Amino acid sequence: MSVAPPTPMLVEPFEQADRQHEAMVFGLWLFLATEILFFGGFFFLYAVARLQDPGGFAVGGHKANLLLGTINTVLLMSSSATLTVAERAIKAEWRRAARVAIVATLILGTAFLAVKGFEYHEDLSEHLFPTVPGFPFTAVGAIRFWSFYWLITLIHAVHLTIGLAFVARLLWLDRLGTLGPRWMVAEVTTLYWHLVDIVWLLLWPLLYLIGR
Amino acid sequence: MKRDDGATMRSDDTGLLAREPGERTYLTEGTTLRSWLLSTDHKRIAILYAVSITMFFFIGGAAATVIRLELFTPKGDLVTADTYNRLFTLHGVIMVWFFLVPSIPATLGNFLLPLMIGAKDVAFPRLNLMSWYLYVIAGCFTLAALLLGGVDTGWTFYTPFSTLYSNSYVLLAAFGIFVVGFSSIATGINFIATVHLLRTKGMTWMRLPLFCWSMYATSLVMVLATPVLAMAMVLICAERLLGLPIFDPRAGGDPLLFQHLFWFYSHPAVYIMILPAMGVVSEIIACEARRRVFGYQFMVYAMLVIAVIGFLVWGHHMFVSGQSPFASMIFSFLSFVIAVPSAIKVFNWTGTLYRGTIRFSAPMLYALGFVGLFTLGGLTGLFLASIPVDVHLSDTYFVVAHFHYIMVGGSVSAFFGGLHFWWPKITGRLYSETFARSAALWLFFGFNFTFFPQFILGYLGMPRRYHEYPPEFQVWNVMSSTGAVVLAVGYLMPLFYLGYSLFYGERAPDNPHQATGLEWTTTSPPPKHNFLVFPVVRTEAYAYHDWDEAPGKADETMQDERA
Amino acid sequence: MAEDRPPDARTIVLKPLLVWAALFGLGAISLGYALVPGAPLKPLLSLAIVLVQASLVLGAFMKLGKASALVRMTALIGVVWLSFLFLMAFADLATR
Repeated sequence: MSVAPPTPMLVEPFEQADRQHEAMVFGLWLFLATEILFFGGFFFLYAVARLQDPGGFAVGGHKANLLLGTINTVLLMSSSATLTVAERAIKAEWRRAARVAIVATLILGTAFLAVKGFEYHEDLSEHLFPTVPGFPFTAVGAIRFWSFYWLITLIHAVHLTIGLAFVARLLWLDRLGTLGPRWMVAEVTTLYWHLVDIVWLLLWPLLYLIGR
Repeated sequence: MKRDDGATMRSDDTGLLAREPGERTYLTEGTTLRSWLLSTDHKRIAILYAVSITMFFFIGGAAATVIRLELFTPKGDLVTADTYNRLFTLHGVIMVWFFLVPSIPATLGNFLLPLMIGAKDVAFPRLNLMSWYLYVIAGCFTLAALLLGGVDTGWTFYTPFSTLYSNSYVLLAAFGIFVVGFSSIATGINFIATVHLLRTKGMTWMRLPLFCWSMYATSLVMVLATPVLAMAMVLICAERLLGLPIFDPRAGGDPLLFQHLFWFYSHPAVYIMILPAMGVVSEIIACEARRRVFGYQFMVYAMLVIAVIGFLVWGHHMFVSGQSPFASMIFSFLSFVIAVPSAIKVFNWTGTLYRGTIRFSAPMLYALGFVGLFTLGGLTGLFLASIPVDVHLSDTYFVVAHFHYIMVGGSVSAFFGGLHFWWPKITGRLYSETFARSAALWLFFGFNFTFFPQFILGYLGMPRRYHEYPPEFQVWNVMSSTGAVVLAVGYLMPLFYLGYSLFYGERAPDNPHQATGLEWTTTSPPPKHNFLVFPVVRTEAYAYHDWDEAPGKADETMQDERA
Repeated sequence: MAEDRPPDARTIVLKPLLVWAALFGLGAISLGYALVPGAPLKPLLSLAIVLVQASLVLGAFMKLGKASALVRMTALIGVVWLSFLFLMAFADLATR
């Protein structure tokens, strides 16, 4: 078993592995900072709306599907753990373990999307979309809750889909046999995935636990 | 401008690709279209950007031409009110997001930043190329919106008009802006990582040329402001497309929240446009006055302070919107505060000129024009930052004149100045100094001729965004429209003499201006990997003279002056 | 980056599993408290728990603790700039 991660593949314009590593992690964190501000714009609107009509928000939030939301939280938490295992296994050159962990992550992430789709179906069958006829609420807080619910879960699902594509790419790199030397790619992929997970950890109480 | 022609010209003594036997530059490394479109060389990407922003500049300029023609007479006789709305929206959207924001950073910045810090390339070359493609895709969406019939909301996309009432292609344009935002985020991330991690040996932070500092500060603003705009555009799309009542007052929404999100980006975006200009002008003035930059460290801190405080002043766009008066007072105060670092910069440029051996070359004329116009634009900004005056002047031509002084008089002058200053480095050709100087003067006079009357119009109370006006305003509008013709000539001239220089211009030496800075130590144009031997920096930037020596020829009597 | 000791099953599998268990436990507390009828300060507690969960993910999974000062500053900067938005916009909303 080796002490250090495998010799990394160098990409232009870098000539030293540690510089390239610092640049990739730093660059990705800069991107995550933009993600924080992107979601932050939404959380700002959410905070304003909720403070303006907490009662209506609670009434609206009560109809959110707590069971499916909680299942999704567990799925996403677990996917973060499996992807971390994958990343560390790649660095330790445990190819088989890495592959299993990556596949597990893909399954968990896809399951999240599937549950989400099922939940959307349930919501729509209960007319929980602010513009459809039969929308059960009239309080502005509840209308705003459901607007935000649809908006942010959709945006989050898009982020997760992009994340799935990047994780699937790791599997592809593994097939090419270059995943070992490109462990930095795996590392920054996990960084993105974890941020999407953190956003969901925050959304879970904001969307599912209110009004209980 | 030069790419298409360059690929077909092959000759030993003239033409873009002319070279000494055995000489290899970034221009000669592959001449196919493919070698340009798939290049990750920061210099080639800079050229790709230069060609595209030039195109968008002329599209935006065409809209401005129609606007000025319409305003020649008081009656709305050339275009309808609705068309007029679409014209100024087009002008604003194109000029802000497709010309001004990427102008200096994506062209001069892309080309020069790695050269100036002694690097081979930017930190993420493929991301750099992707940023250009995002720009092009975004441009296509915006152009599609334009060709289908345009957008009538103004570049600000204020709700509820943009979400509930507008019958125009808001979705397409908003999506285009969303995408072009990612293009500038990519550029910003690249530049920040490049400055942090790829400086050559000896290039310490306090030895960085001010242009690099300006790129760093601009990138910070790009990275931290743009995502909020992206969210604002997503929200507009969600409200228009899905009908989700995000800002709809009937469902408890508050249109002012959109304005908060929008200006959280769009005020800092003003600094995205002006900080790079400040960097360019610092380089030109130091070189052409043969002086060390006066108060280098203060210049650096001033830029960083502008970048940070620039995020805290956005509410001055909302004084008359129904924002709380207490918030307005805080925003007003902070807007006055941000004038301080800007004033420090103007003071230090003047300080750099003092006792300099000034050469009135074409880049210098542009740079001096910048200092004057930026000062005027900045000072009128203070009028607008004080609430009682703004209540009178808000949404009048005074505002239009103010921001055109900053963005056109300031940024575009500096962009042209920089383009001339580094033209020999970028293309390896010298342009006609006579033509260039006269173009700089045309631009300066044309600009003032166009926009100074608008200050007076605004003061007299003419509101912006109207296609007709009372006849007593006509004299100023005629003046402005006539000036626009002169300005247009000033813009078109460089296209001709710079284009001419590509084919028939004299070969440029490596350092035609005797300037300091690593970009002048390599060949003109630079080789693919920028330097044949990687440079080591041993002195501060702008070592135009010894610290105990006056600039130009050392003169015993002037030795009391320390820079 | 290069860990000092050789990676083994403990660091590769066990540690992420422990963190996962902690995340799960915290989530369970959050859910349980939210379901207690009439319990006070529910939103505050759930947000505090999210903060702890996020710190766990940031520290253990994203290795912010071992990252360079530059990277840690970058992680912070987004939050600081977001606070500008909240601070100034709420200055308007609270006094309108």
